[in-house]
Amino acid sequence: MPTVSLQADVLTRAEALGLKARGIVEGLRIGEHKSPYKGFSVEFVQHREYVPGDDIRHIDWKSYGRSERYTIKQYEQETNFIAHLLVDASKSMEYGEGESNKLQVAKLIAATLAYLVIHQRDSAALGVFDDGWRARLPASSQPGHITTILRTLEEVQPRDKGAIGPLLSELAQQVRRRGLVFLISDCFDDVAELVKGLSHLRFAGHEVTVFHTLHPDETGFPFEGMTRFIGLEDTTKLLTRPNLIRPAYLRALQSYLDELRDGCRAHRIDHVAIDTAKPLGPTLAGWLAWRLQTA
Amino acid sequence: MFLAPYMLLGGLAASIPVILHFFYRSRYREVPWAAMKFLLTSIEQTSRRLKFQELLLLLLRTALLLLLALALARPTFQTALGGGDAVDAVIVLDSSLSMQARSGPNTTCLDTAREAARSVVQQLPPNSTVQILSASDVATVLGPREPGRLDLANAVLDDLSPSDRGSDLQPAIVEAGRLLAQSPSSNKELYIFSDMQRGAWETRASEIKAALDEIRKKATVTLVRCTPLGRGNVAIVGITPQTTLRSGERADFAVLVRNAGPLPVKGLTVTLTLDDREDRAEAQALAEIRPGETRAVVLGNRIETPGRHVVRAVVRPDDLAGDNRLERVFVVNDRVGVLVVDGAPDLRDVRRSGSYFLAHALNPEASGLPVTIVPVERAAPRDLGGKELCILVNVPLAAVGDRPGLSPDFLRALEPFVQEGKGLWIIAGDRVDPKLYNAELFERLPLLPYKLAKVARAPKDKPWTLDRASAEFPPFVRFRQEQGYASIDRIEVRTAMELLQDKSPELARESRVHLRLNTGQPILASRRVPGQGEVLFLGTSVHDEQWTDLYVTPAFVPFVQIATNALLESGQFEMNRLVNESLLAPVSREQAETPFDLVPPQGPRRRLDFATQQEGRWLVRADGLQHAGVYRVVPAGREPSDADPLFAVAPDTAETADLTALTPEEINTLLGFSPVQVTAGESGTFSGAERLNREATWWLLALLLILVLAEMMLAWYCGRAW
Repeated sequence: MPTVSLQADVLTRAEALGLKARGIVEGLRIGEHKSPYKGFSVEFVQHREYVPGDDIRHIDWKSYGRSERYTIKQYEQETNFIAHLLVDASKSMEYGEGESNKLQVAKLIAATLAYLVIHQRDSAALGVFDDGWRARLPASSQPGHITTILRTLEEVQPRDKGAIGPLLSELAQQVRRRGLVFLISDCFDDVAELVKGLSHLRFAGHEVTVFHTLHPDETGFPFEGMTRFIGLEDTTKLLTRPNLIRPAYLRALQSYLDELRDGCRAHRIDHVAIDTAKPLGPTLAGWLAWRLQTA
Repeated sequence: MFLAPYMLLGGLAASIPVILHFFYRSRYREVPWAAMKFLLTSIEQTSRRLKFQELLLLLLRTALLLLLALALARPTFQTALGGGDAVDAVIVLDSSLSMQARSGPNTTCLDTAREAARSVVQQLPPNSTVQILSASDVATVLGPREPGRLDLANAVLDDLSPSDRGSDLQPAIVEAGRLLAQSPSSNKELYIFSDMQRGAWETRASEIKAALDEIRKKATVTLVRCTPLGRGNVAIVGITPQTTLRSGERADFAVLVRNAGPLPVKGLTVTLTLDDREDRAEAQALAEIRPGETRAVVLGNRIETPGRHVVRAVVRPDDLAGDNRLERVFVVNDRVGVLVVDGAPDLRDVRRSGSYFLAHALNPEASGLPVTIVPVERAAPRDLGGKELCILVNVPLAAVGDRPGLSPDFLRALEPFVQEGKGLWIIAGDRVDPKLYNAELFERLPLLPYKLAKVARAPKDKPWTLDRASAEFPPFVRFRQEQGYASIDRIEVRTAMELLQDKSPELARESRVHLRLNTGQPILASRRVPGQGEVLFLGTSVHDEQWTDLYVTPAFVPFVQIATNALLESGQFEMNRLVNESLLAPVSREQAETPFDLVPPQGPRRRLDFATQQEGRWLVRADGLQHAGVYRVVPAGREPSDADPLFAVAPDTAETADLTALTPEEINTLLGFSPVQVTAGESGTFSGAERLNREATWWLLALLLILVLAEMMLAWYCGRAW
């Protein structure tokens, strides 16, 4: 159990995370890019005849002028969209030092998106997972919900092996209402399972975006000399000279990335590659601009 | 076969790549890693190939180091037929006196050896080296300075002159072994050109055998025999004055000619020259000398002035010229006086007095040194005035009954007499009381060489004899060296004064025994305090037949002359030396820091080391003489003058005393193996058939280079990423 001091520490760090996320969001709003979520609100479906008890504020007076009958406007949804922020907190997300740590970057992406969504009066839900759900926050559009999300994110520590695909499938079954799903993960999982989970979300009508966080070491494999690699998610230990196997590694990585991107493309899922060593703002701005153009 | 087998230990370095392999595998950094999936995939794809490459590199690097060690060990192999590599040859030329023996009408054994050596040099393969050593009883590396210059080797052979020293091949063989050990070639050859004289091999046979045993492991040993034409050899072994030398008078010398060869020699002529005056040389023919016989030929000439005179005796012809000539320096001291104090003069029969025999020995023809004889009771200190030598014959130091003794005043005067550098000779007899002599002349005055013990008598049926082999020091060493004194060994001694040979440091420095009896008992000893005259003590009588018959033998005159001259010259230096001895020239203290040159009888003068102080005198030393003849020590850069120290150096006639040569079989037996033995002058001195060794080093180094290149390429190839 976290102690009081730890909670204070978490709070401090959550505030720092919030500040950082707010900074990014402000940057996005100040810039040329418009929020892609503007206009997400209600949708007119049909008229129906007024019955006693209905709120007279909803009577369509224009229709009464034409037909001298009291009719009421009916909307399909009267609430905001829900953005599901799914953060991978498996052990593999522990890689990277300082600000380039994959989990930290994932938290920052989640916090930034939470700010954006709630700022537009939409609802944001948070799900933190490894091989199961470790934390879930229900959707809310209350401004105070951001603080809850930030605290939850800060308390998350990497743990266990990740199993993303089944969780996504499970989520697709649980959430009936269409929404936005943001998966923030290194996606070091079986690609077929992962794509299958993502496709389930798509079939459920969700718009899915994958923020694929990878450290430059993982994409460039820049190691030299005799090195012993110790698996973060299992006990595997490999002693090798990385410079000799670099091309083979990069080939394997590229194959995986191609498979993942192809899978995403096939299901109209946005795949956003995040280099954890680079500033997050320009990357997110680029992605938002792209969405604006393609919306 | 390996020329440097110890380098094979370098093969242990082959373990270095293996050690490094495991060392580097144990030194790694750990990286926690997320993308293990891709890593596993890449390792699965490359690990077999990488392991194979790693093993190949490891094997190649190990092989490289093994090959390097092998190459450095310099392996050799034998070719099927000749045509081996270049040769590193060492030529030992026996240049001793015996090599001057005639090997042809106008050639010596050394000439024959020189020609044979030249032939060997000419037959050496290209790129060979040669080093030439001369061997007498010392070894000298003659060159050439650049061993690869075979043309210079011929010049060295031309310049080689015969030595008058004895022969002992051991130093030269050891030196040759050292040179061959330094030689890098796989084909090493040692040639020894010698007359194979028995003494040259047998003197230090075991050491020669050991040295050649070591050499033959790596080199071919070839003995080239130089056979003399004839074996008739006579030698001048001594020149002895027959009278006391006086200026203005004729001086006769007994020239001792010995036949050292196995055959009679006929038709000889002996010539004696005084001070290089060839016009006044005197000669005498000798019809024949039988093997082993020594003949004295008396020749002489008039000596005009006192001082040093060089007497040269030459005998010819024979088959070995080196020992046919002898030079000696004699000092004419005709102005010095000798005082003989007789302790027991017999007035009725002077022939029973010691002084009688001494006076005749000192002055054989009554024309030698002025000798003054005084009976003991009349001896006074003033009698020592003007005398250079005092002889006490059977003198009692105190009166006993009616027998008079030496006066205390005379006794006291003896110490300053000796301190002035003059000689004192004390001769024992029945009037000599050991206790009194010890008290007065050993303890009170430091004159006697050793304490006297007692009068000892030999068994009547087995008298003692003098042992000339015990004569180790000049001037009496000639008793041992010169065959003419062989009769000394037959002189009987029946009674003698025993000497207690003290080992104290003081006496060890000042006293020495010159002659012993066959029992080892000292009979003649001397004592010389540095800077003073010498005291000689004879432990037997010179007139009493109950004591000895020395005084009636032919050796008595030269014995007394040598002793007298030694005492008179005790303040001077030894001028007559052997070629294998050092020359010690006295110089003044002022000249101690002056450089001196040695002017030899032939060849250029040689610069000597500065004078050193020995026994109170400053002496310039000259060693390493090669030739007999007259040497002078002169200040550097100055022409010789009469005042300069002069030396007459005699050849080592011990060398020619036995000229018999070892047969090839005897040499094989002595060495314990069979070296190649050939005779100089005969065809096929060397066939080259033994030059079969080829060194594989360069081939291995070439292979090593190829492997290094291969390793570099493989390392580059393996260093590529996959």
